[in-house]
Amino acid sequence: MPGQFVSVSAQHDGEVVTRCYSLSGLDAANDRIRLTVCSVNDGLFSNEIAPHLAVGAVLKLSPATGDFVAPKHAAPLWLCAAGSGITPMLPLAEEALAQGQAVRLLAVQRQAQPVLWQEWLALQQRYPQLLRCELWCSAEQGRPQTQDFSDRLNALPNSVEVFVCGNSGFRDSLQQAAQNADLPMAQLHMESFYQTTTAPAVMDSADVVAKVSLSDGREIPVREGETILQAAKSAGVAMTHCCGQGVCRSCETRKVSGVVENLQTGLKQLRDGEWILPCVSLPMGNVELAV
Amino acid sequence: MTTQIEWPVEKLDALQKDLDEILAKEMADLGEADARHLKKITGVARYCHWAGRGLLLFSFEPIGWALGVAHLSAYKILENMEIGHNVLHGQYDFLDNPKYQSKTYEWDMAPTAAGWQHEHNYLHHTYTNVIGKDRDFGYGIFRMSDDIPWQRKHLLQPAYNVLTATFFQYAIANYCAGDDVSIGQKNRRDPKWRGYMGKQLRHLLKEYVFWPLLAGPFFLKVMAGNFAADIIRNIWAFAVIYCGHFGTDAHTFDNIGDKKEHRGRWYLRQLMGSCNIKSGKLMQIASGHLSHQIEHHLFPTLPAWRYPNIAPAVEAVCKKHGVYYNNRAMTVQLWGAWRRIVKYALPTSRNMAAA
Repeated sequence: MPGQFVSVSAQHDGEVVTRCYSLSGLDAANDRIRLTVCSVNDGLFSNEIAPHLAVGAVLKLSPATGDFVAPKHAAPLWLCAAGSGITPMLPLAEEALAQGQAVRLLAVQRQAQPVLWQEWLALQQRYPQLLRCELWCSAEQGRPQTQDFSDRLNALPNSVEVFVCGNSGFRDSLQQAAQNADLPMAQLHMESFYQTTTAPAVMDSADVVAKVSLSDGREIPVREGETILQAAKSAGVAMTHCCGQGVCRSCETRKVSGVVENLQTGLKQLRDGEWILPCVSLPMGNVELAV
Repeated sequence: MTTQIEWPVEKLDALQKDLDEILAKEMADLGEADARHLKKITGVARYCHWAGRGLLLFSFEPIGWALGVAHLSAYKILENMEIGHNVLHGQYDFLDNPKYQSKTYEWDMAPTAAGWQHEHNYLHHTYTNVIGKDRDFGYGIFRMSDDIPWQRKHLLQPAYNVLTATFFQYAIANYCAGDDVSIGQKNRRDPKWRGYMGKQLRHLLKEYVFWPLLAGPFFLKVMAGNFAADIIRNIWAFAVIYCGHFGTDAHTFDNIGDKKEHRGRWYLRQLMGSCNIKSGKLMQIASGHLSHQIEHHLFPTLPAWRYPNIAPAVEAVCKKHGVYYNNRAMTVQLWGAWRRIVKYALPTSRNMAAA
């Protein structure tokens, strides 16, 4: 249904990466859906996986979920989106406009144009009487305040259904505006979303207690209390792994030299050439791995 | 209904400490005894294999043929369950025996080792009985609790359960292949997909073309014998595996998402989601020690023959922390699994309300 989202899974470096994306377009007649993936800094899915997908690549989708959907009865809609929160709004608007409902959009953006803006303009040409779009550029106008929302809400009919998708500050202001306007809670629909980022940790060289060297010559600095896998992750070195808790043994690696402590058993693995599990192994001094 | 775990962290810590202690004690003891056990079992399996193949080729009366089937099915059961399953868990990796290393071992069965390891070692053992994560809970086709929305196809599940039991190895092979994310909807040119299909084809050729051809005119006799041995192994493996997590009182859980799970909670889920079979020595070997499913799920990488030895300690920990230790006769566990298959084939009240 318009407004819902699916979770998408792809395999990356042996790990299953799952992200949720709103349906930004529905074509029920051809059994197609559109997802819009916004590229974010350090975004694993958006930068590492999505750009490398060729046409015909197969991903795993969950069934569409979410209760960010229009009510069954006919009502005018007010769609309020901040940033990429605009993606689920497009199918919601298309559905309502096709049924002859009035739709208003308030899109708050840092830059001048939100994603898929061309589609909105096309929609406006098709339904000039019904659709009104307003663009709020926060770089020039500043963040919209509760009062800005209240002004707009008061101008709308009482039966309006309000859809809000954006960051928490944006949602809070809108909720406040809706309360001030005595809008029934059932008419306010909120969707939260967030971006998953894996920011590389800034490392202070003083914290490094050990080094793990790999067979290709790379070295991973390890801080106090860090497992080899955690250290590799923060150093940006990809190591095959799955469960991260010593269950599945996907990460099992041969240790060429050095000593590690297995966190599960508390045992120290001393022998050279032993198999170790990087996800539950603390290096005790420098360690050499055959990876 | 999924079970909500509302234990305070201190209780989880205490449970984890007790179970970690059992594991640490066993891990410190690893060595010669494990090598001896593996050698003994692989020796028996090898004997059963060649005796079975020989009897099937050179027997000319029903008794010899039946003995051949018995030997060959014993080999298949030992190879798949006591050797294959446990080696692929990495239980014997510490021996550093290249023949029985989890990364390189390939078992004598239709599913590929690598595909099965992902599905089983990672998904099933990490997310045991977590709805939406552990696909072994119903294998994606069976509705084993009311957590899964009812669909019309579930009406037929008792019937196709009999089919999957009979052809268990192929059901598992295709189940592992079908879930590999990058394969998805069976892209035939995908090398991974070809890997899965190739393994099944090689297995079929070996059992139903190569060995029968060696018998020349007695082709059909050998083929029938191999078929019988395959079916016996399939049904046995099915029965043991269905006892593991579908018995009455096996709990299901909600997905906690990307949050890191407390290891004590992970232990607790294994205790509440697994069922043991009351067993003697023979049954333990024949089930690959999955008679001790609870111990196996707590310590999947510990050599399996040690499970019966630590079972009393695990049961004592359960008692101390007030967790039910689900240990019943095989008939009772299997009955529980079958009851689920029939019960949830029909829509249940909870789903009617939601629909």
